[in-house]
Amino acid sequence: MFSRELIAASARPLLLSILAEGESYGYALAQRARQLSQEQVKWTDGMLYPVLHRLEEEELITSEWREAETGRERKYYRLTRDGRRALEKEKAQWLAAHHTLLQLWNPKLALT
Amino acid sequence: MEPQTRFNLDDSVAAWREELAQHPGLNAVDARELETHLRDGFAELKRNQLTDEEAFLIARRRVGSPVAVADEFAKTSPARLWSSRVFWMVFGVLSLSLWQTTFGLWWAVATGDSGGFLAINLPYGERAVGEVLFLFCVLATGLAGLWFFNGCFTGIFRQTISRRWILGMAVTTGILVTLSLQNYAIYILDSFYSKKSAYLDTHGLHVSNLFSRIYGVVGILENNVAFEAFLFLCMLGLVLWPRLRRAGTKRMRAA
Repeated sequence: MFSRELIAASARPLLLSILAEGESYGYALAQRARQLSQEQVKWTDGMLYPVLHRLEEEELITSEWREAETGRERKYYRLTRDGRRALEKEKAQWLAAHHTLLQLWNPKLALT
Repeated sequence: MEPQTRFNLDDSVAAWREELAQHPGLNAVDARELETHLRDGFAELKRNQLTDEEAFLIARRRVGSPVAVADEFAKTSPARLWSSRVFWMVFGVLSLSLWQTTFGLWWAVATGDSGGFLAINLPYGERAVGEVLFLFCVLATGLAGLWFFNGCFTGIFRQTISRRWILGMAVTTGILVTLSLQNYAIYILDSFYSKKSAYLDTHGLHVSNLFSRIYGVVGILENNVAFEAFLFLCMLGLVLWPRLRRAGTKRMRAA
């Protein structure tokens, strides 16, 4: 089980990475996150939206209300150029942290 | 067996949105986005052979409890939360002051006394009754305000009561009850020492002339109106400020 803090911290790179795969909307993002974490991370779907809105405020993603195939309107999110840059930065940071810990836990893996 | 009421999706979604609307962290667009999420989840769960009610309950749970979600939203936009808190504080003080003016005006018209309704010029027993009436009016205004601005006040009485709410209500009620009890106790003590008739003579209702009544009305208005206008402007500002700011940023982006 992930701690609350770790879930909150990982939401940002996770959402940026999923959006790097292409434009998406809240429900699909939550589905994808659930599928990727294989139920290891207990997301509450509603918690994704504040993070999305903050990313939008920082202009790392943009959004647009559009009619979906179901006829209902949905808010679609897309990564901006700044968002891509931010994702690269996040990636470097998380990999560095991961690498640091891995050297202690599994030196063989860290060498490769 | 109890008769089961039929499950209605739209009613349930409406009730859920009503619950969301209780929380200042969320605006209408946020709520609309969460609703499409809930409906998407519902539609998908329905495809897995669940009944409407089962699908709704699971979809609802996946979105998260309205309180927790709203708290999370509030964290990302503390300014919105605070402007809402300040709005309700100002609303409370304004309604208190407006009722004070109303009661004071009535008092001034009736007696020509501009001291205001909460001044000492009423026998304590009657004052206690008046206070209860006054506080009832203020409470009713508060509830009417909630109904007007939030579309409902059911949430206060249902799940969304938090510990802070209960504490706040307890403190306020405590103060008001003490105030009224104190006045009533003075009244009882007074009559116990059989000074009541003399008391009424010195403090009782005396009708005075037209001039003093007009003077009283002017006095009350002079005391309260500027203050109330100021509070009203504060409220208006709090409502309009986010809109102005949004329009401003849009124009800046366009330029």
